[in-house]
Amino acid sequence: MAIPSLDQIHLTHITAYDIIISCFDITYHVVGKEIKSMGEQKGALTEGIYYILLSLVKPLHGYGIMQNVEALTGGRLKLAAGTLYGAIVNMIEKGWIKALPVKKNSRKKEYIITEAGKSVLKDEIRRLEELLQNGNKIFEEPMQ
Amino acid sequence: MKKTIYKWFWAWNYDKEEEWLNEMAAMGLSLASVGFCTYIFEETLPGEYKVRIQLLDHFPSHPESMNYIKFLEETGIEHVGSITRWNYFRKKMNLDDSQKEFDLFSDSKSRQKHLGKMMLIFGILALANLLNAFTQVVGYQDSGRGYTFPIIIFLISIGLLLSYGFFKIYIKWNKLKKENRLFE
Repeated sequence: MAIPSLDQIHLTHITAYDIIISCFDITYHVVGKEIKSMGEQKGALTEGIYYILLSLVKPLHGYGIMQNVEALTGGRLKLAAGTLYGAIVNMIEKGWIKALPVKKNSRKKEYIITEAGKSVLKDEIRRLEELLQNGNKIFEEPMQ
Repeated sequence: MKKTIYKWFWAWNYDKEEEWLNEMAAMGLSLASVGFCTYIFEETLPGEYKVRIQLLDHFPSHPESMNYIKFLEETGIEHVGSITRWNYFRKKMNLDDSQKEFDLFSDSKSRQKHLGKMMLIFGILALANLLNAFTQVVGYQDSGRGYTFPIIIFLISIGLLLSYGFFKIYIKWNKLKKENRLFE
């Protein structure tokens, strides 16, 4: 298909909607890729992500994760289903967890932590230990 | 017994819509299905259900949305219905148990993301309307082939209205963004 040159296209023939939607599509994909590659730097995990990873040391389905996290934190942290789903999708994309093939007798999808996820979890536990040690040190020493 | 109520909410007042639906549920009228400006309620025990509204990335028939809705259903949430990409959910409350709240998001990051999606839509539609109006004005003067004057005015008013919606959501989004700077 021949691409018409710019002066052949009258502005009123392509609507502004077409232009804006395609501009948006391009920027969305470019920006989206940048954000994904930025994710390599190591930072702190959110509380939710940390406890989801911790729960998935054994296979669990979505509702099981919610119940486990609530039990582990004594009811303090209640994950909402929408937030949990977003976290699961992101972690599968990163390869930290994976979905298990659905069993015939149960319709619910189960998830489990991967080796990559385990190493993220271990790094995080080390980081949290450092935080705790430094925090405790301050209060153990007699304050001036 | 079913009860139908016709009511209009601007999409950027989705939180007021949620509030109203939950007030109805607290009185024993739980949302059973939705249509354009139409809410169909069924009689339930007062406070038996709580309702939430969510804007999804895709239409409900899209596989990704279907996966999401299925995931919610596995946690005991019912999908009441949808209008375009706006989805209505409800959850049965265990009145004697701890289960007294229903929320789709539990941290301000996912709430911020949800508002971000709305902002994007209102922003794009507002810009598209205003730009379209602008190109029509140019086209009208150039060749007379553009839309007529009333349609241009219509496009501009829709554009401005959507801009208003954009800024309303932007204020909420920005508030959450500031909060998120302090917390992981």
